[in-house]
Amino acid sequence: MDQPKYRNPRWIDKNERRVWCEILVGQKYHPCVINVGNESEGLVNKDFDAIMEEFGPEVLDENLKLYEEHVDEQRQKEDEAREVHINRVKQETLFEMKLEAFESDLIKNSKDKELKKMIRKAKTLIEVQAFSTILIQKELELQNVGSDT
Amino acid sequence: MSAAIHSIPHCGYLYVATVRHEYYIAAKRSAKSLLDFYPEAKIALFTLPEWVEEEDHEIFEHIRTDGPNHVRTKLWALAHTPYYKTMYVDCDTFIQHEDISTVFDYLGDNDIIFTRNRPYNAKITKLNDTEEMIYHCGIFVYKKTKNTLSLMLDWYERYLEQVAPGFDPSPYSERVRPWDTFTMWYLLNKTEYKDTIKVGDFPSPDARWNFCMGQKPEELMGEDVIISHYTISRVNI
Repeated sequence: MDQPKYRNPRWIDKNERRVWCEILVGQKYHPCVINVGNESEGLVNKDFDAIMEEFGPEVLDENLKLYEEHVDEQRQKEDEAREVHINRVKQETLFEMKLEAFESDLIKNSKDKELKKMIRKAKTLIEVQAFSTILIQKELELQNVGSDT
Repeated sequence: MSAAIHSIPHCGYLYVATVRHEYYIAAKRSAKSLLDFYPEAKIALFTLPEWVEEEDHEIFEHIRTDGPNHVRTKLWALAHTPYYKTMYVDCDTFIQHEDISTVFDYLGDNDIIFTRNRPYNAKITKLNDTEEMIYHCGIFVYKKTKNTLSLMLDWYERYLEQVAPGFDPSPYSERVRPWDTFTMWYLLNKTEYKDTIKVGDFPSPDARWNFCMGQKPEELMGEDVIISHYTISRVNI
């Protein structure tokens, strides 16, 4: 069976008679933009005329609507994926910083449960850093007191 | 409740770490964070005998090393829990709130409670237009009854079948085969367990009980995270 010459035509600009479609060249379909121009200019294009005859403007209207819905859906998916990625990077960075804090012997071996819990609960990098600093300072002071006596 | 059930420790947390040593390190790290917030917690570890260190006995009150060394040792271990109520916790987690001690209160008259998967943050949840794997199988609480133990044993056995060469998952996609979430979904929806296991949810917002990296912070509804869930391969441990 012969393959149709045009597939999936849709408007790019209905007033300026710009159409996107897939056009059969040899055995393969290629994306194609047909520019005819405003009807008032009186120009003609045989591909455009053939599409209008085969599909009619209503099909191009409908295909444009479907295309816009598809683009919106894709954009939403991309936005969501971007948001997940950003959240993941932020959360993993915070998590890694907490792990690093607990790698420090002064923090790991500290008996100050409350400050250790504050480091674990910290919601920002600044908090991890601040609570870690306070805990390390306290541990160093304890060590100094120990060495003074 | 039977006398036999009275004789076993009531509530405890279960970690499983086999196959890769990083899992063992991660499990210990998570258990230590749990003890920081709940020092009286009873914790069990299922791991490999060659990995056990002396300090582990200060962290875990129950260490078992006679299970299979398998990517899903977890499923075997669940049926061998020493506790009447068990919270299974994936090793790639981090406890960060005192509310962890209250988790067993939420089991109620359910046999098992889960947190929900987030389709936007999961590799696969939707099976087709009408069926979806809604439960996350990395954190859950269950009761030790004859029926739940049978479910856990079947979870392990059916998972082994599911990943064996020649298993046909149709009408579902081949992609479901590596996921134990699919096995549990199948058991709870397509076998006699659908009528005999009472399944419930963690209290809302369930995100705080299993906050997976990538999840939207607004899902916490302003509440603090209790368990953070990361991915070992993505984080330097």
